[in-house]
Amino acid sequence: MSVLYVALPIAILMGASALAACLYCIHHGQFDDMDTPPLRMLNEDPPVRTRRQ
Amino acid sequence: MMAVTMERQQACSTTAGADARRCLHCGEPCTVVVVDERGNGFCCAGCQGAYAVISGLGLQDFYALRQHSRRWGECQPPQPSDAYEPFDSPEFLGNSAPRMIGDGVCESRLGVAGLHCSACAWLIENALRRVPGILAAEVNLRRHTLTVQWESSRTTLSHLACLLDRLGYSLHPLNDQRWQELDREGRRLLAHIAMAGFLAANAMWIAVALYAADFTGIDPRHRYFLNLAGMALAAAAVWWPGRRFLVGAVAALRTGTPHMDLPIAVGLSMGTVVGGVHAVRGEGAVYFDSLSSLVFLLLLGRWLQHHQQQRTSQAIDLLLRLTPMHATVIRTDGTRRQVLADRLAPGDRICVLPDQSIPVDGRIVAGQSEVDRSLMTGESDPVVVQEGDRVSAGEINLGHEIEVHVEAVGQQTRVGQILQSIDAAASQRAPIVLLADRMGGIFVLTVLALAAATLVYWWNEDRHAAVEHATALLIVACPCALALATPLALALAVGRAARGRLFIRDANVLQQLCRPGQMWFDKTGTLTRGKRRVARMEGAIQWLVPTAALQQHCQHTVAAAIVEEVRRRGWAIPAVERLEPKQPGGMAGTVSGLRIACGSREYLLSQGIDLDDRWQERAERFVDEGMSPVYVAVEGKIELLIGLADALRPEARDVVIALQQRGWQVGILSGDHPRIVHQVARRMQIDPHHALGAATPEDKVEIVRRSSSMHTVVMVGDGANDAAALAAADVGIAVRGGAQASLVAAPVYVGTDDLRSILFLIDGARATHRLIYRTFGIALGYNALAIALAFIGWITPLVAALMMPLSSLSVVGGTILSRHFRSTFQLVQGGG
Repeated sequence: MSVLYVALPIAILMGASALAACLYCIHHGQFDDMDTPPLRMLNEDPPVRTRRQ
Repeated sequence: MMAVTMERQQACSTTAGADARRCLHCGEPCTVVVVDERGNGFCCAGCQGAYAVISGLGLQDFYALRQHSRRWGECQPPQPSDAYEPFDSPEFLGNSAPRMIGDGVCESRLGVAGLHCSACAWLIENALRRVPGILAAEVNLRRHTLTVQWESSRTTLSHLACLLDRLGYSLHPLNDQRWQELDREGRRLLAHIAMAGFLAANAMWIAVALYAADFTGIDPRHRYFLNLAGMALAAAAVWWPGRRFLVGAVAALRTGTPHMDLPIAVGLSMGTVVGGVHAVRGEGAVYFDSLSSLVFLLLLGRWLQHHQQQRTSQAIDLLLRLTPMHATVIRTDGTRRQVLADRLAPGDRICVLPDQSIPVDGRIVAGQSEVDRSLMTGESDPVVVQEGDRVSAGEINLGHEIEVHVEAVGQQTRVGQILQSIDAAASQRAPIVLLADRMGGIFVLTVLALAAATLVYWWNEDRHAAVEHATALLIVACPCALALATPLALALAVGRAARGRLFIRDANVLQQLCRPGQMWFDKTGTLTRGKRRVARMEGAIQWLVPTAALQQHCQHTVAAAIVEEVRRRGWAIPAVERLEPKQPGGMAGTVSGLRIACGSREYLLSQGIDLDDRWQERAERFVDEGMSPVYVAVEGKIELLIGLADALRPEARDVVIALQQRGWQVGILSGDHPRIVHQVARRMQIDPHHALGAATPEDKVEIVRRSSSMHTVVMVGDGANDAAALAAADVGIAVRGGAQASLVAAPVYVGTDDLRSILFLIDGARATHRLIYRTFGIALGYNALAIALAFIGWITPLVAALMMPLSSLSVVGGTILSRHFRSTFQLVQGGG
């Protein structure tokens, strides 16, 4: 069980690195516009053309 | 899905061949006027040009991507290419001036008008990427902005603006420092939530391990370590993201106004200190999981409210789009140049085109025109001005081009001074004590007193248990649910109101509107439509048609009203055979072989037309009812009398009566003539003592301020002449179509063009208020129970950990499921 003394800090540090990445994204404005990116994704591919009958 | 399929079929069918009934570009039904060499039909040259550009760039996919869910914009002819020259001067761009970001690379952020859906963003981005020299282009649909990077040696901003204009979008410089401030605050909150979430989640895992250990047993050294680790996480949560509560509490203490932050801060810091001591000593309760999740939940509530308020204020800003004002300066050598209006100086000579608003106070040096002064005076009739007359900023030039000698600019103008007095009015207002803060204050004192009582009660028996029980009480009584419920209820109210196109910038007004007070309405443009219309006709109505034929050749508002009435009835307007030279007061001409003369009484008398008593009597009755009469004579004999009035909104009377039924005292505050104001008041059933006419903007502020000493004062208005009063009132409500100045001043903006929205607002405010009280009740019930348990020492960490989320959940659930601000307009029928 004494592995706990090593594993817990490591786990928290790993989580903290993900938190740091998240903070980096927030401070660089990646969460400012939540409206356009999800829509832009839909328009990346050329639309499928339906044939006129 | 159905709509999309149809859309695609339509797009394809139009690509395949000419569709006679729909414009290929804008999709509007039209009679085709422009046909290109491949036989495609367009409604105008602008659409043809846009289509040519789009297909030339190989971007026809645009037509399949877009959706015709709403009208596809106004068809506007493209500007001449030199109209965009100012885009190359930093003076014109102001805040949007390009920044050098690298070797010869510039970046700029501009506003885009004409965006509809994601297809527009796609088109703009792809079209710009195909322009040589443009490195990156990104459209933000929420802000309606375009961020673009380009190589300054290969292309210019004016070229880019010109291209977008041909596609049907116009660029304009931005003026958005406020947004940047809001953005920064939003980012800070979000970052704090991320941290608090991380810390709370990890603390929770450790807590789960410890709770499990209660049943299975654990090595005391491990328990000690886990307690320490959890406590470290909780202390980090309190000290880092939770600091805003501590700061708020210190501010509350300094100003002597206890509010919600205070009990939160006391609970947090007490819990941290006692928990920390317990963790180090290895005995007693450690509340780390409660502390960290408390910080997380509280921040979440704050963020919800901030986010919602930011969204609404953006919606308002988008509607207003505060673009910097521009003016055309005439230099001494006769050349013209566009500059920002605040760069003008007294002594300059500027030119004001028709339909532009005059940017400065000054004197006309050339030209003759009519100006609309309603912005400042509230008077609905245009005023004739000529060389030597004074004009002031905010007036709109309706007639011809005029040249103005600048006498005062910016804050020195009359409008500028009114805007300055808005700031003064806003700063003189007493701060509102929010309901939550008021209740919070009582709550703080009660909890602190109880904690002290617990301490004293247990002190003689067991000092150790006394401290422990008092701390447990403080933590359990921490008003998490209370602090979460109010922001949540307000955020929901603001969001739901915005869905009904009622934009609330400051949620605090909801609290002020829940109790009746005094409501002042502006007349022109608020109770009325602000535009003259044909209100009544007496005589032979068929003569309206030839009258309209004559009036089509006239620019006056009377003429516009008559022509519009004929169009509304769907009658065809014939051509005029002969038009006589225009004279003041009326006009005459030959239509279908008959001589028609129309105009004022004086004009007809000057034409030698006889007015018998019967017509004069009718005309006087029209005047008494607040209408201006226009006579129509056919072949020298009067046949028709037209009454023109600035028509009241059809719902205005019902709204006023419904407000009175709800206990509000309703009054009119107008710059218009007192007789007209009284006449409107009579029709609205408003007490004539509360119908004040001929009020200058300064008078309005004074009256609003005087009446606000007794009860809540609400001002509803639209013009710049209301702006200062809107700011001085406890709650300012700006209605659609008004002047930008008033909308900026008002915390509430009605975007529906329907006065019933005000009733919706008031009923919604009352419902929100009741909801907050109810959730307070539930949360207080929980807390009372918890405090009682803590007082007798029954609260163990496990019970505390269970009770806290339970009370939050019930409050949040109750708030979300409530129906406040949902029942749009249904109350109107009951009231009217």
